[in-house]
Amino acid sequence: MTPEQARQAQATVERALGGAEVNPYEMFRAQVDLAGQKLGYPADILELVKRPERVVEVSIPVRMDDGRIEVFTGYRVQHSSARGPYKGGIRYHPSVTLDEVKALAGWMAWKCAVVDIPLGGGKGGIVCDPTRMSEGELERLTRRYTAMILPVIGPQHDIPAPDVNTNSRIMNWVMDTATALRGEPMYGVVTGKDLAVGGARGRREATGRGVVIVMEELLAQLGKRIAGTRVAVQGFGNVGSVAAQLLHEKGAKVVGVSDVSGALYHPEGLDIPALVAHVARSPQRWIAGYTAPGVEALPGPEVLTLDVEVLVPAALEGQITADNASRIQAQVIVEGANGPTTPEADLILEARGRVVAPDILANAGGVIVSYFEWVQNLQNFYWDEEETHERLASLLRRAFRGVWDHAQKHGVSLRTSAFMLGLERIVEAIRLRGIFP
Amino acid sequence: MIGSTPSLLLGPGVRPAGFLARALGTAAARGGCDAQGFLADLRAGDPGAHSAFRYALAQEFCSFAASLGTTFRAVYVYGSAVEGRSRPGSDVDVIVWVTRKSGTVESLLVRLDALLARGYRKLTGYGSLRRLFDIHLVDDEDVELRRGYGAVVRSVWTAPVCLWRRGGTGPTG
Repeated sequence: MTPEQARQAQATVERALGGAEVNPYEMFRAQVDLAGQKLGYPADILELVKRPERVVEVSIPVRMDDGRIEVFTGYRVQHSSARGPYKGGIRYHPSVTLDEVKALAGWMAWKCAVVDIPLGGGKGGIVCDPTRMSEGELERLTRRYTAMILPVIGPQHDIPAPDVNTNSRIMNWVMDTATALRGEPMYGVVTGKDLAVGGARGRREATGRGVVIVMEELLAQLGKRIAGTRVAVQGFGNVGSVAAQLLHEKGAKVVGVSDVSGALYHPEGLDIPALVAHVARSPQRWIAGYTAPGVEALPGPEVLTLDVEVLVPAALEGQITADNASRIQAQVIVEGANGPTTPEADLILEARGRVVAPDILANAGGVIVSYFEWVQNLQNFYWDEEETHERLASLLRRAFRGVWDHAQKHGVSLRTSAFMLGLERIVEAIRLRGIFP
Repeated sequence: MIGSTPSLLLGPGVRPAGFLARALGTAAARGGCDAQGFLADLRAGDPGAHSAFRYALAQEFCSFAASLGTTFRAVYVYGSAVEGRSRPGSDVDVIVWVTRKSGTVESLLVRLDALLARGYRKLTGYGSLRRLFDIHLVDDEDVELRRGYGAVVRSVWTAPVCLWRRGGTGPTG
């Protein structure tokens, strides 16, 4: 094939495909089929667990600050209630699609099943660009969206939470709107609220804390301890910075950390409390500019390939790829972020004998404390932070053992094991409940 | 997709347009026609074009496998793609020899197929095709014991076409 023929072929295909991209819902369905075949489940059961129970699409008219009306599209997908009320976040982003929301709703059902909390899976999203909206526009968008989906959400039915570009302030508006429209307190309609309006103590730190609990359990299975272990953490936001602090407290040597501004390295371990204090003082909340004796600044990506025993990717998806997987020195990878390891990298790491604690388990601390927040809202009885920490640790340790034992029994990776275990639990709930009518 | 997608919902890093374009270009060049003309033959359901396209797709698959460390040992193609009788709804029959079968390999291949099948449907207009590759995984033990498709790899009578083998160091097929 000549270069000209190659160029023609590329142009022909790109014209025909019109930007066909990865469809996460197709990926989800393919994974369910694969796990189902391994477990010997019939096709009709797999079809049942692959499909969302309900899909709601809403039009959301919002009066913008300049006086015109803009109509946004929003979704709420309820994947499975076999194990309990639907649970899952709401994301605001210009590239939200229905198939993405469907895939993520299914994923939430699996995540809740893997950590064995009595909740199903759901997800919501609004196609919008919140970075280009005023606070008033965002509030009106949120309140109208809440009003539109209120017939299908509620404390006993479907409990949203924050996700990409949504936060406690937005969750407070959801709760307040539901309360106003229903005429009764609705604290349990949503989680991730601020503490003064029904939020849970310890929620901000929950995901990072969960990462450390899973790491501790995994190291124990491998005959190791956190104290003295050399760790690198990619990402220094809510997850990475909390994990780094806890690891430091437990005696680990956090030798490398990174964020969007770059990476820092100290062969004997960074002074994490000092670094956290620096970030808190920094206008952009970056690690850049931190200096101390022996600390070396590195390009950000180099944090992944440092000479460490454990790596915690806690930034964005797709960071460990086929290009760098063969250079990763850590024996253990604990996924604090969603999808930090590409499928190709996963294969390369497996061939090199690396052990990966998958995101569905390792970053489940957030959804577990969401569950705790909902429980406290229903009881109108609030725990202190210590109680949240203890219950989180207990639940995650049990979840880890379940995934580990399942992996040993079936001779599969922890990622495959977690997905199979989730499927088993959802199918078991369906079997016990039966099919109505 | 937003940059916070859980692991098993991510596709492989393969760009379907690039993968399909290279296969289309190779098959068209072999057939002595341009890409647009070859695509027209595919859309018309021409068996020769579909067989040539599938053979080229299998070759692209080899490039993908070769780039992923030491897991893959060899790739074979057999069936309608090499016999010139593929139809628009035919899959590409492939035997993939890996050092060790695992859920991770299966998961990657399932996702690759989902990605490419979606591209193929849009490219050719054959919306009913569910999967593009019918992949049979075999490992060293299967080949050594001549078990399942491991026996086919070494069959004298029905030998598949070996499209790629890692560095000549892998076991012979």
